Amino acid sequence: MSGWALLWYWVVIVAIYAYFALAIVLAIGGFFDVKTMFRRLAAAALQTIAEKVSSSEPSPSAEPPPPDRGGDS
Amino acid sequence: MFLAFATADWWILLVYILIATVPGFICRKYVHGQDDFLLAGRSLSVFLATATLTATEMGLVTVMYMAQHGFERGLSGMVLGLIAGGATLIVGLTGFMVHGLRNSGVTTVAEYYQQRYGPGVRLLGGVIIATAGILNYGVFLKIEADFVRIITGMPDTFTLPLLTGAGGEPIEVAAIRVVMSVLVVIVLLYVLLGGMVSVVLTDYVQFIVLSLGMGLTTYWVWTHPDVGGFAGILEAVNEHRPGYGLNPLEYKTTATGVVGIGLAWIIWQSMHWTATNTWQTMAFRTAASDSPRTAKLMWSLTSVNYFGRAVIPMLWGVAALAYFSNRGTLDSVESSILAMPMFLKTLPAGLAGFLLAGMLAAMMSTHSSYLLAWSGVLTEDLVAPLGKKLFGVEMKTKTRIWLTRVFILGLAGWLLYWGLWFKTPGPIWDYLAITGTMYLSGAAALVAMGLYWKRANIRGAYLALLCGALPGLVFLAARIIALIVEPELRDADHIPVSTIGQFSAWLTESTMGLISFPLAVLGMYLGSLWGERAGNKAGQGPRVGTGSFMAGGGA
Repeated sequence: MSGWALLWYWVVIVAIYAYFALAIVLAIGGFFDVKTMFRRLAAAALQTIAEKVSSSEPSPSAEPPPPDRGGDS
Repeated sequence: MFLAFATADWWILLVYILIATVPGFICRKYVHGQDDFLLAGRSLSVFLATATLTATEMGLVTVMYMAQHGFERGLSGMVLGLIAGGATLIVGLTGFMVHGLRNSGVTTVAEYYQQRYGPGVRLLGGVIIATAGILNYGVFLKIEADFVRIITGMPDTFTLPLLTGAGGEPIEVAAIRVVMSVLVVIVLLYVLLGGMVSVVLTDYVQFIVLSLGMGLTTYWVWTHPDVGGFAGILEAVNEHRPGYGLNPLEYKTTATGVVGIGLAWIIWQSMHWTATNTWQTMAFRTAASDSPRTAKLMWSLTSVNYFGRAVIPMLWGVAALAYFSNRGTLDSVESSILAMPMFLKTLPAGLAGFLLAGMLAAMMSTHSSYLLAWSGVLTEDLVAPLGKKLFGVEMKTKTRIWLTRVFILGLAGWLLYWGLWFKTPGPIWDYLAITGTMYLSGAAALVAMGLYWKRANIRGAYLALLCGALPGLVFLAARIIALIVEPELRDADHIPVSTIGQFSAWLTESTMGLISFPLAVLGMYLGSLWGERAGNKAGQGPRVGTGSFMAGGGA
């Protein structure tokens, strides 16, 4: 086999083994990453809801509403 | 049912499509803002980020053009895998550009342009990014539909049920159009619903299915008696691709185009792959990673994938050459792009279904990310800044999401049109690379010099963008005019006779690509010096974060 042929032979072998070995690692590691991502997104979603709720409640520092004058104005 | 595909194959395919599309519905509740829709809340850890980046960049179209590369250029085509893997590894280890980009907190590359150079550069950059990206993306669907059509053994035309023409005759539709339409609908279904969160999840599922399909097919190809293993491949390459099929430095042309690779192409590709992390779909993944460190690690791991995603499909392509050569049926191959699917059509029942599921997985993950990336650029880098500049209106989050969705629909329509009309002059990869270079040359100059050269300024940025895009634009304009003037150029064996046709053939992708990168850097250098000399405020521009990027870039 010529030098080029030998090079391409090893390129093919290394590519196949490296690609599929990494695929196995990523498949296993990715599973745990998916769980982490959803935990983070769920926490962020809860925080958004909490912020919405707190912003819709009247602030204690705000001025109290004017007293009802019984329609005499 | 079609002859090549067995019932078991269709079942495998159906089950896969269900598994792949359901997450799109489930993930809707996690999408609250544009960051969630486009970047999955910037919450990707290293394995998931790498898996999704691989799934995105390993499309069915990738498999097709890489196989074509192997079929046309023999084993020497695999030099592309060495370049892609090597350049990406250097980027990952040094953090060249990716560290600084992730640190800047931007969503799109054009957003970085604004942060570093100003809003005008962002607009021009957005125009170039969108033009190059959409032209590049336009050919995907046609090639993918060809693969599906051949693997499943569909007839060339379908007769529409229930409908007849004006004279009562049945209406026939080209199968390729039907397949393209079906594929677009499948992709749109889940992209429009979930955005990046669903894309990330389905990318992960698709990565597994894709790897399984590829692994089984590679084993089948390698052990096929009509291929004859590596010895059979070597024999076919020596017979049909003499010299240039083994030696990538040998440049060779025929009357219809370039066949041997040559040094110019190798240098162009080395620059292209170093700059490729600024490609919007990849920059999205850098932006979506949870830290700059994750971004670097992701790129280091991705180098293995880039190496494999080039070499493995090329092996299929060059094995197709050996298969048809050993059977004495090389003349039956319709075109070089169809050689690999015509070979894989002979896969045994069950395996064909797995392969198609894997390839559909690859296709869907690519389309979903590309649709989001280009529609994101149109919304975030063109419409929203223009609206603010012209009317002083800040676009609301909901409006942005809906506008992104409208652009996704528009892009889907574009896919159905451009792929059928445009005919690339050389191999598909060279077309994708030259359209990519239009964008990457300017983007790399702006990002790299913006991060590592303090004197880079607005004038330099404008000039770099224009200089980088110009060679690619000239190449494409010449090709489009040539196709209009001389439609026969669509035939692979046609030798151009018109002046514009000959000019278009003379402008090879490798020449134009090669000059794009130095031109962009030169534009940045000269423009920045010009800006400094002019000494006015417009020429200096903001220098946001230069020092920290220099420190953190790792270069």
